[in-house]
Amino acid sequence: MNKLKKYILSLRKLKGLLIFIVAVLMLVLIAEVRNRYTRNIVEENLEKHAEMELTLKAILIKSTLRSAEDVLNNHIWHIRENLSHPDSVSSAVARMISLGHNLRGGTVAFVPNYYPSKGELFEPYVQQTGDSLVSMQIAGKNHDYTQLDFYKEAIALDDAVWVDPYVDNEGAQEFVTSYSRPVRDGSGALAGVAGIDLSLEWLSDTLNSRHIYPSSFLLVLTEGGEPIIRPSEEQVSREIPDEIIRLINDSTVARQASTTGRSMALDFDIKGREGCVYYSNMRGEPHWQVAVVCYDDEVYGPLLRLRFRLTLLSLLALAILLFMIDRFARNEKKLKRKTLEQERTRGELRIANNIQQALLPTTEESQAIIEDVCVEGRLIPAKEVGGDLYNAFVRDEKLFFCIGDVSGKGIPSALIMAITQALFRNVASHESNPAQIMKQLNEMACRNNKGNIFVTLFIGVLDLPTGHLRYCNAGHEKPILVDQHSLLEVNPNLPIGLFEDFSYEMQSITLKPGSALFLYTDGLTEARNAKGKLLGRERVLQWVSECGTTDPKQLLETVIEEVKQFSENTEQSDDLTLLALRYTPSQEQEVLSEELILHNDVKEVEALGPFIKQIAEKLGVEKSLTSKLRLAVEEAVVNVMEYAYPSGKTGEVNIRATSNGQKLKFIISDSGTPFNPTEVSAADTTLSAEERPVGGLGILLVRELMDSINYERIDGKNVLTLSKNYKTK
Amino acid sequence: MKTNIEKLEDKYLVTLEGELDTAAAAEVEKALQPLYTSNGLDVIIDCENLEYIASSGLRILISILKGAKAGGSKVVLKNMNEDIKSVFKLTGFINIFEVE
Repeated sequence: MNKLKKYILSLRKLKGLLIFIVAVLMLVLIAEVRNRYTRNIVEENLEKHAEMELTLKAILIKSTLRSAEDVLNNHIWHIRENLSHPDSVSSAVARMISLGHNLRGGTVAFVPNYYPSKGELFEPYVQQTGDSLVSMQIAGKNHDYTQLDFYKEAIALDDAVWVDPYVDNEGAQEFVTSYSRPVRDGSGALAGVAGIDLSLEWLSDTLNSRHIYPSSFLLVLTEGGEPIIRPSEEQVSREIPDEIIRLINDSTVARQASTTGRSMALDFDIKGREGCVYYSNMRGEPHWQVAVVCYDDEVYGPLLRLRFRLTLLSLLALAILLFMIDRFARNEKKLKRKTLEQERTRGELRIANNIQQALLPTTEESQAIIEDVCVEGRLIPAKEVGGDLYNAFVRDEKLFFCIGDVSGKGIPSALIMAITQALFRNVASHESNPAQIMKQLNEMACRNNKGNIFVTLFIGVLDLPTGHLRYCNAGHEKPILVDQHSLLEVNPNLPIGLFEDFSYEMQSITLKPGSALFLYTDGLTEARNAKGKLLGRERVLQWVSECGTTDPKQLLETVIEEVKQFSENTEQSDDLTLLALRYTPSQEQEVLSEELILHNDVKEVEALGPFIKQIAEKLGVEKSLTSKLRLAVEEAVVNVMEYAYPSGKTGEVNIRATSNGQKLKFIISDSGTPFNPTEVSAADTTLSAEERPVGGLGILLVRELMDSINYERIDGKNVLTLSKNYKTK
Repeated sequence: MKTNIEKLEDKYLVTLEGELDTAAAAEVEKALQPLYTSNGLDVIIDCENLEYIASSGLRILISILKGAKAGGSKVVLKNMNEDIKSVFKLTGFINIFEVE
């Protein structure tokens, strides 16, 4: 069992953990999908950007080259016109150069010995530095232009040509690329090659002035892979472009790119910095390659930052989730504990209810207690335990009964109910006056009544031989006299438990044979139907009067059925207690009636022996019982003589014997002070000789020897009745 | 009601005859007065002819018993008839007297 419990507990704990794990997995999955998706978008965007960048730069380069070409092509006629004057060639070149501010210089390299006066080699050169133009003649031993590409290629092709970049130490004195074309004189003979030097530094600055990413840079390579444009060393340390150029030259992809003209990409990792380089081949002359370099950290940087922030958010969400799971688990635990407690309380209440029902008279006790009276009681609690009570029992030919309602409901009321129930039985076992019983119960209820719980109570004592009903009410509902269709006249008094010194009044009435009394608690009159309407006392009176029976059992069943119909399915809000009794004294045919009158002198009890013997003989009572009858009667009479008449006061004691042929009754009456011997406590027969008190023996013997004794104060007389069934053993 | 007391060396021999009812009790009490202080002597009461006893009679017997117990002696009741014995049973006296 324990193992199973532990297992279930661990499962419960696991349930929270499981939710957490699933949440983590889902967040990771979402993050992964999102990362891939966004990375793809960024990559696609980058490719488009790079392509656009490459195209733009190519257009820029081409337009620069075209404008340089235009300068030369448009001025070649001017140079041609000045061929006849070797010294004016420089001014023609100067005019041409001044038109392009990105041109570092211009020249005409004449075929050897074109001007005999100028020697074998002649090359006037105009250098442009800012706004100033300097003309010079640079051909010489150290500068044999006939060996240079611009000259050789132009003549070889007999057309305009772009020459791969080179450092011109003589003319431009910087890194330049040259455009050159052959020059023919008026006769069509080749005069030389005219060329212009385009500043690559300027081009580089222009091209690298703006990029898609801050650290990106542009490379322009010749068809052979030689760098034409590269970032300055201030911008990027030398080795990185070198490495990238090497990568491009090594890559077959790059070669393909250079032939197909499509843009291609190549990943790199230089000194731990990853990136990607995009290439494309410029279309047309010159066949240069343009490459743009992008670093991953810049491309994916924003993405990484986004990822970092989202991860933080996810962690926060998980923390909140964990907190909530913990809270839920705790709440669930609390709820479970509460439910358990409630169940236990319910269990305890059920036990309490059983105990309480056990406190009520048993079915045998409350039904047809003796032939003279028929009693039926029923308690239907609203909750498991209620504050209602009833009791009924017979002592000394008297029916003691009560019905009550403890204020409030639940366990405190049930406890008071139990105490009141027990006290009633206890007090009524020796006290026959209902007002006295009420007084004692009130005193005990007031003692330590910290909860200020009070009890409405009705106590009745019905003398069975006479039908004399004495009763005392403590704020309880008025009982109904069933056969008279009316309420019993009742002083309200106060409920018990309020004022310790309150004096309760006793009232009395004599019940006719066959009459019935119906008692109830306010659970009946205050029952409500579905519309919230009260049942009311009038309706109860009507039901009871019209039900056509005085049989207690039928009476209760009828009323309970009516209440059910009235309240339909409305939940019972208060305890419902009903008690009914019918007085049915047996009609006796007297077969014997004898009388003996004694004075209150113990000497006269001698007369009892012969009196009882004579009666016993008449009725045929056996000898041993006769002796017992004599003893009982003598003890009772002596008691009366001793207690009812104070010493010195004379009076009479009347002893009447009656019999119905079954039961023998001795009715002992006197006119002395009220004295109820049934309330005298009998001697304790278990005590030792030394402890035995002198009194109490007489009443003990009377109780033991007779079937029942009954005391009544009737018309100023003490009436004590002793009964014995002499026909049975 | 007749009572007889015979004092031997070490005990009293008592005989009760007739009906010890309340009317007779005062007289019997007086007659048995010496036994209330038995001075260490046992009290043997013969009840063979005792026909009836009321509570007042029982009270006399208990007074004798208390006196005897104080002196360290005992009270023995002999030859009780069934009616008397049943009264002793009812009152619990059967337990505090020695009954033969």
